[in-house]
Amino acid sequence: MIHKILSGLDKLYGFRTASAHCDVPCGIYDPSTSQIAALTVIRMLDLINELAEKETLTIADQARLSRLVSQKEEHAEKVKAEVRIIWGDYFKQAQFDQVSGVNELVHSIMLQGSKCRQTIDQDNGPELLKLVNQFAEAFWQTKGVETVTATCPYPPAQLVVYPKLG
Amino acid sequence: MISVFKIQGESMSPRLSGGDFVVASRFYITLSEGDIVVVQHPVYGRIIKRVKHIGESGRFLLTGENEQSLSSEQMGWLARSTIKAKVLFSGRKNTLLAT
Repeated sequence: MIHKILSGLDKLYGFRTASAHCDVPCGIYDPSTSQIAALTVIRMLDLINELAEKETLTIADQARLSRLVSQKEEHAEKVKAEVRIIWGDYFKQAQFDQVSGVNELVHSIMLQGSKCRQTIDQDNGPELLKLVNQFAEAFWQTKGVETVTATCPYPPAQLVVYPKLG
Repeated sequence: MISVFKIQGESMSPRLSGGDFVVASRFYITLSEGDIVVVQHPVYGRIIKRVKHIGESGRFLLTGENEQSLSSEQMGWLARSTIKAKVLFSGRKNTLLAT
């Protein structure tokens, strides 16, 4: 009630603003970081499974495996964090009204990201990317930016949703 | 004198969100830790924050309501003269909350 009154008066007279400052400039959101992290997860899973084909692992192979697993987990977590930031900080009621099912989609990404951390099943990576691409599509839709789906020009050469800019 | 301010930014969330309004008074009798104030900061301009600590000299530290906020250290110790108004109550989108 009081917000409505003040909002109406604001339109007429324009109240001064008081900034609830953040420590970083707000408004910079881009799902590409989560897409790159998801691609990294797929690549790490591929490389881990290449190692799995070897009959025996040398010490160097074991060191490499350890590094690949660590990177896989780190980037799966990064996917979750980056998506959470956009969902939590950027999406407001206006954006939720523009695209439906975002909450369920984000929850699916959280679950799939965890799956990627927990296992080395190669099917989990592309599924994560698929969900993150859907999230990117939803994000760009709220910005009124068209998207295009193209194969990324580097391994793991997967379909990625890009904004159609310029 | 009573003033109305519109909030920009989310560092006071969940207490205040961007788009909310606050009604504040330029004149106030007491200033206590926990009060919400509109301050003319020498670096960050007109900001709204919570008083975190008042020192013996009367200078005070501010804080936000979440980790997105500028830290108390970044905002530094401030003189009373920087306080432009003390918030009396807020008009939020869905509710009216006394601050």
